[in-house]
Amino acid sequence: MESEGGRMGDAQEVDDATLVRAAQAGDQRAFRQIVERYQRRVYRVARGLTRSHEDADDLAQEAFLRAWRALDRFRVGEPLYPWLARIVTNLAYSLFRQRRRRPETSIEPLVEAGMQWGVDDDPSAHAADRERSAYLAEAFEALSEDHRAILVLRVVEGMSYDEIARTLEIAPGTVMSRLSRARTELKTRLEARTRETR
Amino acid sequence: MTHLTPEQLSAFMDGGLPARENAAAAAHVESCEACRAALASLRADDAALAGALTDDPGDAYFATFAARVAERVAAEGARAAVAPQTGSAGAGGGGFVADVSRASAARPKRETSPWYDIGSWFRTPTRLAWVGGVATLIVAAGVVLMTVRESGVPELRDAKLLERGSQGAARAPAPMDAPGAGAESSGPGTQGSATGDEESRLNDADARSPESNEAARGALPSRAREMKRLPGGEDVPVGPDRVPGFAQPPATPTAPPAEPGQTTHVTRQRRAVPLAAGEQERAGQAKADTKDETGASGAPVPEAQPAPPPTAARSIEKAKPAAESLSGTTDRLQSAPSGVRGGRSDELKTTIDSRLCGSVVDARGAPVAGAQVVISDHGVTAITDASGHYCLDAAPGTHPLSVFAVGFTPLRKDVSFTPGAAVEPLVVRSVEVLPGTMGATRALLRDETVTTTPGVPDSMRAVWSAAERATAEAQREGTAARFDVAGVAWNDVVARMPRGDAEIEARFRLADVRYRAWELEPTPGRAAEARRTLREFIDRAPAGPRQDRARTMLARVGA
Repeated sequence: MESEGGRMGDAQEVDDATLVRAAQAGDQRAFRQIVERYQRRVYRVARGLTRSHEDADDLAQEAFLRAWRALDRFRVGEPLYPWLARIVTNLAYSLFRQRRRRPETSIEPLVEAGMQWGVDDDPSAHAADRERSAYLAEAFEALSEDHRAILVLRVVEGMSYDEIARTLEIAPGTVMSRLSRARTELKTRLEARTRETR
Repeated sequence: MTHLTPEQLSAFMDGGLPARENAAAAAHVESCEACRAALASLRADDAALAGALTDDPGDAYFATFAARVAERVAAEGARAAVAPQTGSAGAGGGGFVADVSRASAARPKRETSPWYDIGSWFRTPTRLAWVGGVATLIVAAGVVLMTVRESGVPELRDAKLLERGSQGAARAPAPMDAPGAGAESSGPGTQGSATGDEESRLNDADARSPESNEAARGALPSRAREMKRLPGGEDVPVGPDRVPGFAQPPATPTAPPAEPGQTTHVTRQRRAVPLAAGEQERAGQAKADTKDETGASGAPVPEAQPAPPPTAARSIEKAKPAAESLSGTTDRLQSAPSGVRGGRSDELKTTIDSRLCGSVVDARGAPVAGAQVVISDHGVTAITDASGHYCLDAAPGTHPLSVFAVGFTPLRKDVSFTPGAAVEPLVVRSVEVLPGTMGATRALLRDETVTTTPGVPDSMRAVWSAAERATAEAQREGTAARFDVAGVAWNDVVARMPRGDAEIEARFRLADVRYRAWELEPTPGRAAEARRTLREFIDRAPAGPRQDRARTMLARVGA
């Protein structure tokens, strides 16, 4: 965006730590660079979790704002992106809670899914209009928050297990098992959905 | 070695297994066909999900995004810059989220009481309202249930009266009224179901009233309505519609000799045999067997059907679907209207019997297997077979068809279908999977991964992009384990790729990741893999800089 006056030479790769230190010292331009660097990714996590552009826009902005406020407590040297991703993920969680969109726990996922899909007036009518990816998104939205989050971080964002563990504050072993369960559940739901249209 | 668990497989695909476990898993996957298939399926799922969840609002949106954030930051910048020193900066253990966001954004572990804490149900107005609502619902449901049961009684009585009436009427004209077959025969007075028959026999003593069937019908409006609804019309009163529900099972064991009227029943039987999509092939095979029978099948097969002797039954069963599918693909539609079955019921059957068969192909005309084809106004679905063929039950006319296949953009098309005429193939276009699905790593690895590769068949796109993805991850992580994973993915591609430029490209990619794995962490196994794949590439590749590069690599590994 704005030309970086003197240090044009290495402006290309000023590392995160430098930017964070500058921002911690109150340099808003440095923070803006951080935003520019991570905006797409943060937005993508928000979008993946909320499935709505408006929500994602709100959450992404809010996430950066909170990051700015909390920047002093960020330990320089930690990877920055998982930290940002964690903020936006947590914001999404609290948004879900606010709206009471779905039950808090992920019990009876299939029953719930069946009920959700059961209210569809006529599956065959829907079959024509919806694409397969829409089915997939639908099945995804029916997953628990935890499962959605881990799938977004891994599949959309391509985070490593270590990064995911940092973002979600869980053990790496838990990443492995939760991710596998999330994938299985998604598949099961998708198959149930497909069977229904048959 | 035992198979990998789903968890291991999923972690292996992500390169998330601990190093030692990873090596073992890689070795196993190499040798395990099923695991490779499972892995490929997992990858395809991931690619599809990434595609479904990635919506980019465009550069215009991001061009202003930072500015908007900066504005908000500036608005409170002064405050934030002055105030923050209150907390101990960076001291909060592993927690890097500030209490600001924690307070509102962190997930409260258990702020709600468990559901079994009944007292809590009445603590807030909202909950009280919910509890009240649920209670009301339960009461309402009870009332409805009682009402329904109440009103059920007269109907039952009516039904009994009808049984008696029909019993009286049936005595005279249809004495061969055996269970099962009786219900199907087109004679009058057979609307009694199997259980109805039993009941009427019990009531025989007092049921000998002389009232006719017609009278019974007239006296019992509810019954009469039910009968009129049936498609058989005047000459075939009501029996047939009840047939599928009740009469079929008893018919097989003790069926009496067939009467002419039973042709109807037989055709129904035939219709009930489901014909799976792609059965034409089987039908083709069976053609020879059935050829001599087809001459006779016009009449005798239906005749024989109702009472097949136990041994002969089997062979007839076999011949039936074969003949069925034969006519289904070629001339069923012509034969149906001109067949023995008469009148309006025939039309009905035609609509159900006729099948729309066609194929799904990609842009190059190659068949697409496993695609889902849906007639949306019927809600009928079929999956294409290996040769891209599908068949659907559909009436002649124009139908909106939808095709869904992994790796292809969904297709929606109105297809008009006239019996006898071939339906043109449905052409699906492949999805742009390669650049769109990489997420965060996309920007980082643009130059490395998104080389457009011409000549990758559409059916291979998903597998190919999965391999590219794995490679990108490996390059990002820079670990040998990751390159092993990418190697497995490319191996998969190479194994399935038809020969051609793309196949040579895949071989190079395979050799390359194998080589890099070896380079990062040399083991004898990796060296052997790198040597083998490099050699295979060199054998297939045209002379040029790439081949030279491969030779250099091979020399380094040590030929």
